[in-house]
Amino acid sequence: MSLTSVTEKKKEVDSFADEAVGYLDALYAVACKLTRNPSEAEDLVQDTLLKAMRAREQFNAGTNLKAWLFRILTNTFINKYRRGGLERSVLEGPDADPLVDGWVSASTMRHLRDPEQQALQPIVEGEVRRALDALPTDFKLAVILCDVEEFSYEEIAQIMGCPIGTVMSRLHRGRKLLQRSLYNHALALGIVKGEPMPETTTPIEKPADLAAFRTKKRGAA
Amino acid sequence: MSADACKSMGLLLGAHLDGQLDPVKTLEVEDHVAACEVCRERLALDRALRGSLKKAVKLSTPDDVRARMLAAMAGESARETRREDEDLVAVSSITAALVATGEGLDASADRKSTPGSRPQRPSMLRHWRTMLPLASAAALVMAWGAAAKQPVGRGATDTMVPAGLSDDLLRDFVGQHSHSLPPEQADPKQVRQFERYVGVPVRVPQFSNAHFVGGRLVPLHGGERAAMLQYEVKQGTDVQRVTVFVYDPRKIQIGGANLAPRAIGTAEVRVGQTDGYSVALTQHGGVGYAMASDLDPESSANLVSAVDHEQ
Repeated sequence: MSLTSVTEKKKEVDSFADEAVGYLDALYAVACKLTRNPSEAEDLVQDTLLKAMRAREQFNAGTNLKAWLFRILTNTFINKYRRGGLERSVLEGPDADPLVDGWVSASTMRHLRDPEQQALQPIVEGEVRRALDALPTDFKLAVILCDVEEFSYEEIAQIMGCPIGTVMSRLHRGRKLLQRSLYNHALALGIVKGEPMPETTTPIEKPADLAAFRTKKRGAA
Repeated sequence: MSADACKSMGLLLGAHLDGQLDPVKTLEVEDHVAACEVCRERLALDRALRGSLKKAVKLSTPDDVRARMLAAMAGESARETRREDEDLVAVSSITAALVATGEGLDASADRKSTPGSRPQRPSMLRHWRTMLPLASAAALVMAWGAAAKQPVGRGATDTMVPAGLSDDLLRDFVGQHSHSLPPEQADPKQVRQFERYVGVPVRVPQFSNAHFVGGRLVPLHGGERAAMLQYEVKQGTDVQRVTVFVYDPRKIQIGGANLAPRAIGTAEVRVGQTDGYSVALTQHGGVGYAMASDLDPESSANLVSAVDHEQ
């Protein structure tokens, strides 16, 4: 090996690392939400970055590095914390309890998103934080990757290693669960009026069928 | 608006909000939403929720975490390059170091991040390209120095050094000392918190003529971490930097071939010297202390023997 190629190699390693570090904030924020523990989040991010550096030859330059890093993060997290795969098997069981759409009136929803007293806004936001923490991992990941990190459905499907239809259904159900706890919380605070929704419903996920979704789309168009 | 129409909007509203629908579908959803108050509110609630979620999740990485990530990655980069070709790296690093010495190390001092910020490329590159080669160069110089110089101290016969780089850890320490990053913590109480990373209690020793500047965590070869405590010693008008590394001696064994044992009081100390850097090691209460400094070996040995005086 020549002197130049060693220098080149080093340059290449450094510029990859350099680019990866640009996503540190995003990786760390999501790791904190997944692990709910700053020191575990730190370990998770460090594992992710080092794995990415070692495996960087498998990364196709020009494709989405951020999505690739999140894929490593997600896999690392799942391998470490969910060895048994129990949660997944429960989540992907038959759809026993579909969440109902249109459960509250338009005016209730307006109060939820825009409480009349501005002072209540921080309380609502605190509740969003709490409700997000309480979401099952797969829903939480789908919601964060979509709403916070703004990945496309296709990227999320790659990151989470599941079909796009499953991404859509996890997102839909995750958001509904969030809205449900938000609603119940607002109800308790007297921000809205109505009947409480059952919050303890086991979130059982139906892997949505993309083909059926597309057919429906075409049919409706 | 019929309930059925709203029901079929279920998944579509979410996909619309996420910008994932094709133009035809988008128009269809927009038409429905324009006419249906309930779906309009569903969309607005989803949008508001997304805003709250962003606020709930976004946070920027604390500076100490960022510094540790950078150090770990720099270590990985160095390991990889070294695996590629040890000798050539050493030689080219010296060259790089000579070229780079003028550049200065801005380290991580001003790398505060804003959420969603782009990589700060130029400063990062300068950081890695200078710090690592300089560290390897210092280590190489040290090994040459140790091989070429008169053995130090009373244990003269023990200080013969095998040719080449004998000890990665000593090399790490000297590199960290010679191009130290700014401290993460200046408060000895906070420095104690490093215990959970280092694996042994991190107490800040009090030296009679040295002023404690601060401490930070440093990664070592093999994935272990040590606490680096930085001091300044006044000698006349001159200020010398002294760095004490606190480590777990069960996990980290520092090679002794180039270190001469000597006894100071009841403490057993091992001392070595390189071109410009003194290294002195001791253990106290199951905790390892390694000191790197510009002091002469005698002062360095005396200083490290006093690690049991806590700040």
